Amino acid sequence: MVLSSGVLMIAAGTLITTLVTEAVLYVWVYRTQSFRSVRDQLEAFQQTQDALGTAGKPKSRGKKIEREEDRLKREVTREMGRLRLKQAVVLIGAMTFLWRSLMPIYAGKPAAQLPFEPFKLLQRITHFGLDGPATDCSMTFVYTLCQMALRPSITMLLGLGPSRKMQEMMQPAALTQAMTDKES
Amino acid sequence: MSLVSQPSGSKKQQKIYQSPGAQPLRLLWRACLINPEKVWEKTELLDTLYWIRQASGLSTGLVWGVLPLTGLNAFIGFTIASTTLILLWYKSQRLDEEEYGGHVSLLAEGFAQSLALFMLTWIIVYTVMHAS
Repeated sequence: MVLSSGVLMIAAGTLITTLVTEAVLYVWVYRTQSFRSVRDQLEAFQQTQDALGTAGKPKSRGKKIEREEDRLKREVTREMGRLRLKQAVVLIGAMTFLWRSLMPIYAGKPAAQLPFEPFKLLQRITHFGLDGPATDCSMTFVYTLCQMALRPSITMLLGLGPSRKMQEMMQPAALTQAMTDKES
Repeated sequence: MSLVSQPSGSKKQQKIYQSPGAQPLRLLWRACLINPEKVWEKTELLDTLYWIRQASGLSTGLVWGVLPLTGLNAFIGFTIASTTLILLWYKSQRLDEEEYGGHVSLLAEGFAQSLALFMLTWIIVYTVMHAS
C-alpha cells in the first residue's frame, strides 16, 4: 500500500469514528434533560457570580450562594459520573472497532515514514510490529496521534459535551477545595 | 431553592448553551484584532488560546514537512515558536495572568493536543512529499 494513502486512511478513520461516537453520546447523554439542565444552571450561576464579583472568592459569598454552589457541585458530580461511564463504553467500543479494522491491513507494514529517529522507549510504539529501520512508523503510532490530535478538537468544534466549567469542577483540585471550604 | 430563576408559564424555556470553543474561526479572527481594552471572559480566553495552539501546530507541521526539517531541531523549533506566539499574544492583550489561572495555566492550554497535531501533520506531509 502506498504510504501516503495509508496514513490518510487512518486519519479519516479516526475522524469518522469520532463523529460517530459524538453522535451516539449526543443521543445517549448530551440531549437528556438532566444533563442540559445542570450545564445551563452552572453557566447561569457562573455568570451571576461574575456579575457580583464573587467568583473564586469563597469568603465574600453568602450562605445562600454557598448552598447553591454545593447543590450544583453535587449535581455536576452525578451527571459527570454518568457521562464518564457512558463515554468509556462508547469510546472503547469505537476505538476497538477501528483498531481491529486497521490491524489486518497494516500487519508488519509501515504506515508512514518518521522525519526523526525516535528514542528507544518511543520505538515500542512507533516501531510496533515492524522489522525495518527505526524511521518506519507503525499504524499504532499514527492511530495514537490521530486520537490525541483530532478527537479533542472535533469534540470542541461540535460543542455538544460538558462545558469547561463542568470539567473544571470535576478536577481533583476543585473537589478537594470544595471539601475544604465546606469543613471551614 | 435555586438562584437561577425559571421563567413562569407552563412551558419552560430551555436556555441554549453556547460553547465559544465551537467557533474557532471567529475566535482566531478576534485574536488577530489586538485590543488591549477588551475584557476577556475566562472560557473564551482559554478557548482562544487552545485554537491558537492548534493553528500553530498545524501550520508548523505543514512547513516542517514541506522543507523538510527533521530530527530533534524540529521539535525544539516547534516548542519555541508555539510558546513564543502564545506568550506574545496574551502579553499584547495586557491580561492579568493571575486572574486567569497564572502563566502556567495559560501556556499549558492545548499544548499536548497541539504537539500531537504538529507531529501528525509533520509525519503526513513528510511521508507524502519525501518518503519513497
